[in-house]
Amino acid sequence: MSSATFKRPPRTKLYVSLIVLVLFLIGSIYQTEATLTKLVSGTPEIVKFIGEMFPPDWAFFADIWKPMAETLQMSILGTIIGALFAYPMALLAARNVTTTPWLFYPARLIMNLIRTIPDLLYAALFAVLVGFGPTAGTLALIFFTFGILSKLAFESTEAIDPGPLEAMTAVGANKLKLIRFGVIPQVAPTYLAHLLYTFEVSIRASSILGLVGAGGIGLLLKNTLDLFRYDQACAIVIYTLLVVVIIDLVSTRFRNYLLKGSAKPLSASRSRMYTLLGWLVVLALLVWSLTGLELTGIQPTTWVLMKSMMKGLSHPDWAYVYIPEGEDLLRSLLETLSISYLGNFVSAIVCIPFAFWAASNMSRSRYVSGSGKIFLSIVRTIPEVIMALIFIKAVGPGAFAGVMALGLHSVGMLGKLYAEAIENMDMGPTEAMTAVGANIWQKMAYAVVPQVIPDFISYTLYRFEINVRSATLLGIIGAGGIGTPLVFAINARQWPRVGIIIIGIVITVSIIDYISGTLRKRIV
Amino acid sequence: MIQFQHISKVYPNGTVGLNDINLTIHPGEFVVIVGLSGAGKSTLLRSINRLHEITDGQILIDGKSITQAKGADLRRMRRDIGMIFQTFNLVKRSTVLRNVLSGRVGYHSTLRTMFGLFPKEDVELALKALERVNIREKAYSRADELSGGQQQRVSIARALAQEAKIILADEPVASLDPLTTRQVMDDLKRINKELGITTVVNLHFIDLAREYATRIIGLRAGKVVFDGPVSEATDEKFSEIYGRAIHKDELLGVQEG
Repeated sequence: MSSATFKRPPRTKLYVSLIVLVLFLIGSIYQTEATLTKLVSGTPEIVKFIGEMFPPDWAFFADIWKPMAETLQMSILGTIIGALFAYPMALLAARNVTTTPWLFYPARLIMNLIRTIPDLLYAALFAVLVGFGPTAGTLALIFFTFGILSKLAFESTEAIDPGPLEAMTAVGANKLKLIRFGVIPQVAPTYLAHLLYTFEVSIRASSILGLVGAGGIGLLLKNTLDLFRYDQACAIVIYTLLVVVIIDLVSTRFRNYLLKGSAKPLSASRSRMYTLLGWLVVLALLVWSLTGLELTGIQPTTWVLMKSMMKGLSHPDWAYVYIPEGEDLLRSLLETLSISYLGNFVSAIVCIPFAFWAASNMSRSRYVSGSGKIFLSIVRTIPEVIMALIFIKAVGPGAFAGVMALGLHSVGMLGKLYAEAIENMDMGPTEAMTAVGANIWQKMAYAVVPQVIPDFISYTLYRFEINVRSATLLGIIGAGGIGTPLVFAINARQWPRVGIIIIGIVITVSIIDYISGTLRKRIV
Repeated sequence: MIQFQHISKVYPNGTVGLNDINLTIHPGEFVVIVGLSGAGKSTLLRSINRLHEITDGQILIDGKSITQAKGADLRRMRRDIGMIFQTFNLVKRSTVLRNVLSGRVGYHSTLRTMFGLFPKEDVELALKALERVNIREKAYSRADELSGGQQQRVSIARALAQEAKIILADEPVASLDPLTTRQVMDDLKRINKELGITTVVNLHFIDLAREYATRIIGLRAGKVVFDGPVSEATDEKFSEIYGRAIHKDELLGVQEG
């Protein structure tokens, strides 16, 4: 055995990947005109801005509660109506329930298409169609929750035990009976848990829809920011976060109960009582939402607008794809991608120390990791659109504000995922490195980093997929990217242009999802 | 030479782990520590390189107290003590060579090791260590591509790359099948003989202990209840150590050949 037999394998792949990463980084810095000087010169502005936010105007609550209630009512109504459509669609799309391909393939296509279009875009479109107000918001949330819920329900339906389905077929049940007795009993708890989760997500979405005039607390937030009443804006953000966190807590408890079951089984009468109680609560919420919301219904102009919208959307403005002088679709999409890439890159690095802070196996005291976890959850509860609004006030409108907002929000999200990766790590190698006489840095480099790197990369890619979606929206409020021309086109009712931009967004998002998904599969 | 001077370990809840242990292990010995689980074998072994802290007494390695060593001094002393674990404790995604080279980090500056810049001699040393345990050809494979026995040999190679004067092995064969158990024990024994490395092993198989050890130490409830050459470690003695008759599962039962 000569030593030449076992040559070190070449590492070209690693070097090429690193070079590509750096090239993209340089490109996106150039695109977004993000510079350190900008950050440094913007810092006093940010500090001043935060200074003006405190102390928050607590008395402003008197003006907050009504739009807050509207926000909740919109998401209640949106979630319930969305669910009414989502569950049948999920059953239709599930291969094991709907066995005919020409039914389940189109169902999946519709599901995916509706899901690709972001919440704010729906809101902006409906605001034009039915006028500003909660009607547009509710409609937007119906589509938004439909997208999320149908996907979740579809996945859990396809994962059910095929045994009962076979049995129902064997006893001669038709499709509806098979669903009623073979599918529903199996999926009911999961469906309900998904519904609660979707409700949580829709409240977050609902709180920002007002930014494009679709009702709820977002409109009030925008007004206070425009009037430079940052103390009132701060009060709104804090109250909203409180409501969101409380609902999250309650809902998460319910979901855990639904998915894991309680310690002791319930008696039949008790269980029936709880079911009845649940239906009553839903009914009460529905009545509250329907009576509380000032739903305007269809405007006389709606049909006309709808017709011209449909006509325009089906005749996209292909000329807009590339304009030599600039400001075209391709360049705006490139800017969007640059914003998400740079924001992602920054957060992937910035969140590392926070992740180690929050990981329970990296510190002796529970208080250390606990405080880190709380910090990260506060950061990620503030929606990126709100962060973008704040950064626009601080560093001015444009791509840079978008980068900062995405970067900061992603720190909260990625930090949490990274911390979980660290907690799931095998501590054996760390112990071995201690025994070898390694210092703390050497333990990091030889035992921790090699173990967590694949998870870190995979989570970062996943986050990038989400960030690209978010970045398409940031422009709607002035933080750069494709959203800016999109909102201009919507307000000017240039439907052919809106059409081409939506096509551009859908294609870009799909391509990024595909590339990222392929890469993630290869990293294990 | 390892000297235990009045070693005791009391856990915060009052449980006594080790109770006034006095021992001297001489260079080149192959010591096997036996005892029931919970008798304190692991605590005793891990107190030698201070993966576990003791509450009383001190341990001297070649006359120097590791109990009082701190920071860089402690790491320097650990560098000279190799350790083999029941669960191998390799980084599964890293190559075999990188796992072995990680045994060398104590010899170089932090900065240098951060970039993985090991001198040529270190790589040679690591490959030689792999050759000694017969898995030289696996150097560039990922550790998780290897079988359990091979992985344990990688961790032996890591200890060899450390140029350790002492090797501690905490239940090194507990996760292996009988056949690979013998291969790993043979490797440890051969290294002990050829390189004169002092070896201390925790085992719960009695027949293995008799076969490989030059000296057996029996622990019971944190106290040394037997210390002597293999010839004195009769079945009766083992029953004393265990406080009961020997069970079948305490014998590996597969003979060589």
